[in-house]
Amino acid sequence: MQGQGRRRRVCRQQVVSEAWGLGFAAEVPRDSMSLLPHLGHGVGLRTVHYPHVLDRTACADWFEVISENFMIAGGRPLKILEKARELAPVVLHGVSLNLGGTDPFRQDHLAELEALIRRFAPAWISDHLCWGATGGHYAHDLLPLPFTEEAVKHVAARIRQVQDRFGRRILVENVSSYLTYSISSMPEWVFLRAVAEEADCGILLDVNNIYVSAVNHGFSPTEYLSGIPAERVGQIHLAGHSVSGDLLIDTHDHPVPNPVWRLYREALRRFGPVSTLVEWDDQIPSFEELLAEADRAREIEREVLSASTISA
Amino acid sequence: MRAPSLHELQRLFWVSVAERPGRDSIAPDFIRLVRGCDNRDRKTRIRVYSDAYYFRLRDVLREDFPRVAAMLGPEQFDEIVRGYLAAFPSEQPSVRYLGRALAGFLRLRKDLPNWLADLADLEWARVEVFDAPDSECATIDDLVCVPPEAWPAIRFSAIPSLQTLLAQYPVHQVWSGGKSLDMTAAETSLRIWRKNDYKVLHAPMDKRESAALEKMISGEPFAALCEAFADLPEAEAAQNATGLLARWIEDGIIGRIGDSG
Repeated sequence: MQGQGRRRRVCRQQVVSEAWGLGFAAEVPRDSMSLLPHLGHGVGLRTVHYPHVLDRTACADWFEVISENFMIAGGRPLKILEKARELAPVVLHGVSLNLGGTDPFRQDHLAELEALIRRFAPAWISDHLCWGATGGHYAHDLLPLPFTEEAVKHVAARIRQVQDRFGRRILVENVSSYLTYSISSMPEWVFLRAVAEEADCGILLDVNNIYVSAVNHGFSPTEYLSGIPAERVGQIHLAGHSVSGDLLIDTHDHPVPNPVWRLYREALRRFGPVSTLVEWDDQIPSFEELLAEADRAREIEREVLSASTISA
Repeated sequence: MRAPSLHELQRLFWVSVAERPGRDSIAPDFIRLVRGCDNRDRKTRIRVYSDAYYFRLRDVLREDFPRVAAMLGPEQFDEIVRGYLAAFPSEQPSVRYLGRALAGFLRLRKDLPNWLADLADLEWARVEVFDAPDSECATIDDLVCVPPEAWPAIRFSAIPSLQTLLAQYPVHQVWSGGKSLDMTAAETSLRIWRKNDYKVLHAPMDKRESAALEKMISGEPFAALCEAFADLPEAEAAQNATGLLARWIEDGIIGRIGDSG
């Protein structure tokens, strides 16, 4: 209608809120969480894949890399990441922010991450809902937090600190766990939701981790999914695991197993299309096999979305 | 039992999984904090983390120090790693720095061959060089452009990935596949650098090359580099110095041919 203000048309890839700090003009409300770009079905880029990046046959929709592996002064890994960035969008996935830790943030670490963000312009950045260092010592592991009100407030405040520093929201990932604490006062999914809402951050939902923890602690993975706020889920991880006695271990050394695929279907029914990434960190197969896993995720997404109504 | 603070819980966790790497050190107060059918179940769950801590970091060290690990053999390497992690737990967010003190740790072990610490120094230098800053390399053409009268005062800069190492043993021979467990001490200068194709290389240097390279690194002009050959007849000294420079250029360790300033 004449006389009314014109609304700018924004294509899907551009519809990214300022809240995510991606540098695009925002036409979405500040509180919308579901408008990260849908990058499709990517793979975790590891050293063995570098030749495919160099000969430009690494034809994934997008790549996720471990941020800390590129916090270096120079050399081949950074060159490879530059090349990968030419091929497809890149996401920085951290393992050492120590979001749940009680040590102060390492400013040098944050500065290195900031430099990586400036250089490689990732579609988004993520880290884990866990702790990994105490007393200045790093375990280089993703250690579980107690699910308490104290921990919600503590982690959410630290996530906000990081987001304020970078001027963008981050995604936090649920980790696999092998123990829970007697002092926990809520289930993991309630904790994850509370942290995400208190911190106003996104969620990287690792479906394999949900399954692994569900088996290890005897909860229902579908109940977990039903407790996750769909609008905050910005990415999904898929991976394989292994069995050790009565426990499942998140080893990332196998194909995605059927129970995890089934849970992925359920997640898609609840959350709609979400950028999905296959992680494979040990006994890594050929790049073609890895891509085949990503293709399977794509096919499942197509099937689920064409067959069902999104319930979230 | 009073609920511990988050800080206290994490301290107990750390003690239980990392204070005695590869050994059982579960704090009784921590067992009580873990849900489980019984204490055996709780300990099993905690041990997933203590095993992961030790094995993951051992694998990192084995990857960074492959020759040291091979020389020690799996059992002794594991024992060294347990002691090392207890003495030098990681203090950096990136695990890449974990092995920074291993050579010094080995040097204190009087029950190990002396050359092992030198070998660790070499392997750590290779790690450092691998991800050192990038730079352009000078070419022979750059050298040809230097007018004859400028040579005495011309200065060269080393690429940032160049490192030198003074070892007490010829450990480069072990690195290349030698297995001389009773290696004879012989002071050995090595240079370690990264080529433009990102390959990490090292090479032994004789005393003259070592002296000349140190002068180049410290910014002294070509005339000073030539002093390393002062014991030779003048013509031979000049020939050796220029030959050395050509080899450095070919190896890609000279980053810039600067002015005489």
